[in-house]
Amino acid sequence: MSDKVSSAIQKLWTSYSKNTPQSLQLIDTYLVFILFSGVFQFVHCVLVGTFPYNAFLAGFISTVGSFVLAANLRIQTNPDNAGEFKSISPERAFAEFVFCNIVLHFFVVNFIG
Amino acid sequence: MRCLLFIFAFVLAVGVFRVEPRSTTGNRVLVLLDKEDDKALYSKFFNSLEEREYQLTYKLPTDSTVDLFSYGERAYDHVINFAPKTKNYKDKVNPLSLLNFVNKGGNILLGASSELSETMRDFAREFDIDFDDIDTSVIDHFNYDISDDGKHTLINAKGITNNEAILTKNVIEGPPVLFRGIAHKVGTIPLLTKVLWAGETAYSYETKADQQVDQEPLVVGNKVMLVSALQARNNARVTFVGSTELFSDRFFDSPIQRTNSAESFPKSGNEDFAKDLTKWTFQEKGVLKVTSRHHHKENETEELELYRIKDNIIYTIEISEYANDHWQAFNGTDVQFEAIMLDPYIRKTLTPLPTSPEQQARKYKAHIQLPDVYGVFTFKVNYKRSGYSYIEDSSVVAIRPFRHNEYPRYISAAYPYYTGAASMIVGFLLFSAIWFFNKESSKIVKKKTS
Amino acid sequence: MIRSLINIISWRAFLLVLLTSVLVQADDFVISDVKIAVTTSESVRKLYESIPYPSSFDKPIQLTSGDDFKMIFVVNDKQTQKGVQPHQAFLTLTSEKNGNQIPIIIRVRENGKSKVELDMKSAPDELLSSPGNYSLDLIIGTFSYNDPLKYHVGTLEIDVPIQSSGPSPVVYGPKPEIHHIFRPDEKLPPIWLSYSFMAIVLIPWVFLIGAWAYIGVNVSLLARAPESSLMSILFLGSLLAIEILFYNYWTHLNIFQTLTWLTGLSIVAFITGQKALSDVQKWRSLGLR
Repeated sequence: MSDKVSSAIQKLWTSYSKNTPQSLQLIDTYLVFILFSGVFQFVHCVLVGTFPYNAFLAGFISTVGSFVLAANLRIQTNPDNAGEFKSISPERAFAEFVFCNIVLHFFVVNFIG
Repeated sequence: MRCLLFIFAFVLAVGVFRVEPRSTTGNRVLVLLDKEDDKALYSKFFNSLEEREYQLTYKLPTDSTVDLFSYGERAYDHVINFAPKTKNYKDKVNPLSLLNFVNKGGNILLGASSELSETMRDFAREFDIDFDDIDTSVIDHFNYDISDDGKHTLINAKGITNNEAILTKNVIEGPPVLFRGIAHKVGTIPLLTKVLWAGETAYSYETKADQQVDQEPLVVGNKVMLVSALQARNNARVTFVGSTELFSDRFFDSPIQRTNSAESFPKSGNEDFAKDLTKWTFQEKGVLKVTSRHHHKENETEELELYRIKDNIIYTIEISEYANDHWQAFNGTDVQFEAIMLDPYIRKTLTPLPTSPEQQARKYKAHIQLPDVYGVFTFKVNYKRSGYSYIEDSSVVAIRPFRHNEYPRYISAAYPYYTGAASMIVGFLLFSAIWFFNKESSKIVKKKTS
Repeated sequence: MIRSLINIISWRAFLLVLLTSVLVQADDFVISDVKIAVTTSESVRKLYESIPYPSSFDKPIQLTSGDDFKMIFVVNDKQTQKGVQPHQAFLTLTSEKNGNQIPIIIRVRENGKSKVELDMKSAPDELLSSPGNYSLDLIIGTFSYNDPLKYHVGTLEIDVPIQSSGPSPVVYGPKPEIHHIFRPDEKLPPIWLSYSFMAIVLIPWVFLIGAWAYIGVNVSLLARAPESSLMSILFLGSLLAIEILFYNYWTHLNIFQTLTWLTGLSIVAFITGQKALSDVQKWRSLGLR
């Protein structure tokens, strides 16, 4: 049973590393990094309580926001989806990613107290 | 020389025309008497009032020309009612008009006797004072004076208030007061102050010799009130004296000695007592006023209408007392400050600051940390003490919560969140840089290039 | 010296006692046949004593709810030994707590015989609302007698549950101070925990760097086309400047200063960004990426 599961995972991993362009793997690792940054902050909040709540929200939302924006970038720059986003070149998508991140950081800094 | 003469004339003029009333409210007194001749009974008393620059107008309550008001304004500042027997008061001086007079700030000294008419009883009831029935007297078989006529009603008052706002110390400790008259019972309203009462063996009843007390008297013992003082909410004062004889020349000059007691005084305490009682009633003493009030933040001086929660402020109030014909620093030590929003949140006794003799008011001060509740607060000094005119000074301020930038910052508990946010920003920059210059490694076979 | 002073004082005291006893002797009234009795609500006689006038009953007389206190005595004229009917014949209860006096009126018959009763079932509210010890005194006085009589009978111990007599009357005076209780400050976790979590939050960096190294992330395009990389570097520099501006905003700048700077930096970022990204697009079309 566990053999089956591990072999399935093995297969999935090989197919992922074979078929995914490196530029997307770059984004994927970035996403995992963001995900764990958010999880650790959440654990901290659960351990010590919500005070100061605004700082927690700012820190946590910065990870959530970054995650969403990076995920969008991945969707829009994925060559598999090129048909769906004909009018949006990868560069255009990156420009939007940068702009949205700057706006996000501005709000986070505003809110973190 | 001419100059000197001028100064002399000026001083003389000032001396002659100085008719400034001693009372803080005025010097026009209406005296109501049962009959014109009664004036002679109280000549010493009335003379002493005239010496204190009061203008006395003598009237009968049945006189149709008597009117407490002219064009809706008080025509007199004070009323002395020494007409207990009169039943048919004219409308202009009936209990209702007298009440109106008090409501407009006039002061009343009411003298009663065993023949007190129902009219004045009605008036007294408005002030929670109940005079005993007609023909009753205060009787005390233990404390009558040696000059009593066998009725045991000429008594030496046993209990006297120690309130120095009303009576001076030498009256409180001096010879006893001679009293012959009617008893009254006081209610429990806080506006009333007991001034003079009987001993524990006294009672109030009719004085027929062949009779036995078979119904419970209205009042017995030290509940037998002889003199009571009331200060209305508007600071008007009404004093009830169960005996007009207390003010008579006879009682003023009478020696006083209690039966079965060796202690005797050549002169009763009545004259000094009457003087203090009228001084108090006619607002010559025990009058307080607020001369200034200020509040500001610590280390600032400006009075604000808007403070922040938990602000440290300084509250000061200056209170002046009228005594001995001039305004002087008040000596009370129990003035309290309150910060109220529906309920008091803070109540604090203010510290009296020392004054020099020439200062006419004393400053009271407190350091206060405002509560951590925001809203519209009233800063109040509500000083109500028996014998003193009431002080109710209030100022309204708003108390606001912290502004967004007044909260504590860089809290240690938030360090992980700061780190997280910084981590996101650095990560973003690094990711962007790599995205620009990353050369796709060729190990991946592109599917869509064909 | 001191002893002689004490002697004088005690002599004075003795004289005073003598004098007062003489005064008591001078009473015109005389009381006799004083008897007291207490009956409980079940008609059980708890107490029955006669007291020799003028001495007092030395034990406290206990009264609980339902008890009935009775006292009888005879008032006589001292000279004629005949009964008298005085104007005032009161039994007064004086509270030892607050000095409050409660009188009971006594009816004296022509022959001087008198009876007085205090039934706890119908006792005055004043008494029931303030239980405790009361001094019991007989006061007799009348107009034709110059010397009235006050006789301390004993002490009553009223033992009943306190009845509330309505709200207590308002009395002006200083009120108790009120100190506002502030909400306590938020408790902070220990500082080591905060520092630990700072480190923990940074752990994903280890993963990120490792993973990027694993997938072969590189900056090799930077070396290939240095002249067109300039714009990209300028663009990235302007992004860095904006983030540094945000840091300063967090520490000390206000919103207006920040927005002024941000406007300037945004324009730079926009222009350089446009140029840089069109370069990137060019590389992509050339197949450099």
